[in-house]
Amino acid sequence: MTPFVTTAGYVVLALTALTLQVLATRSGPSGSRLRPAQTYLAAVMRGTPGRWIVLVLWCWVGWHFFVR
Amino acid sequence: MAAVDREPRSLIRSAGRWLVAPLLLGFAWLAGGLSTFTWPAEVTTFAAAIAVLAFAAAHRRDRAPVRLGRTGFVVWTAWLAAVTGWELWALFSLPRSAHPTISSLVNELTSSHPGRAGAVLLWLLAGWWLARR
Repeated sequence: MTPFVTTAGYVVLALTALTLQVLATRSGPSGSRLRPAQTYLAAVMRGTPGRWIVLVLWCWVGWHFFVR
Repeated sequence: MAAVDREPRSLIRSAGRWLVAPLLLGFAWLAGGLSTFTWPAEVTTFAAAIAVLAFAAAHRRDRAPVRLGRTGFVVWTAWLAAVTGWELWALFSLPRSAHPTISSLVNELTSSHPGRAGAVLLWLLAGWWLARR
């Protein structure tokens, strides 16, 4: 196994997300059964606990990449 | 009368945006020049986080119910599970050099000052976007 294979896996996953997002956006909110990722995030963040969990995760990302 | 009252508000709002943009860019450039494991990096990151969390606490918006399609829910959950699985597999595989994690890939991108400043800016914008939800 080389670093190339592992990195290629991340690239494939990123391209998959991009494709799903484009498909969901182009189909329109009412016509498509696939909604954009931000719709799911909105659903998670609708309640107060979900909203703060996402915000704490955002804080952790900052700490992980810029502090630790 | 209400329309007249709204005008100064929108002027203040747009002026505020023009002030916030250079502040954000300046902060990102400053924070991007700091090394990890140092107290200046800790202070700047925590200050930004506290500012965004305070903004989030002050700007709670009531949201209408969000309808989730079953197909989409399954697809996005499967994608998230795949990302998590791939990351965990890389994290616990040996040798480490052959299995880069998302963190190690991002660290390579943020090894330069401009790259790190760009990452800080993206992080701040993401926080601001999340705080307004």
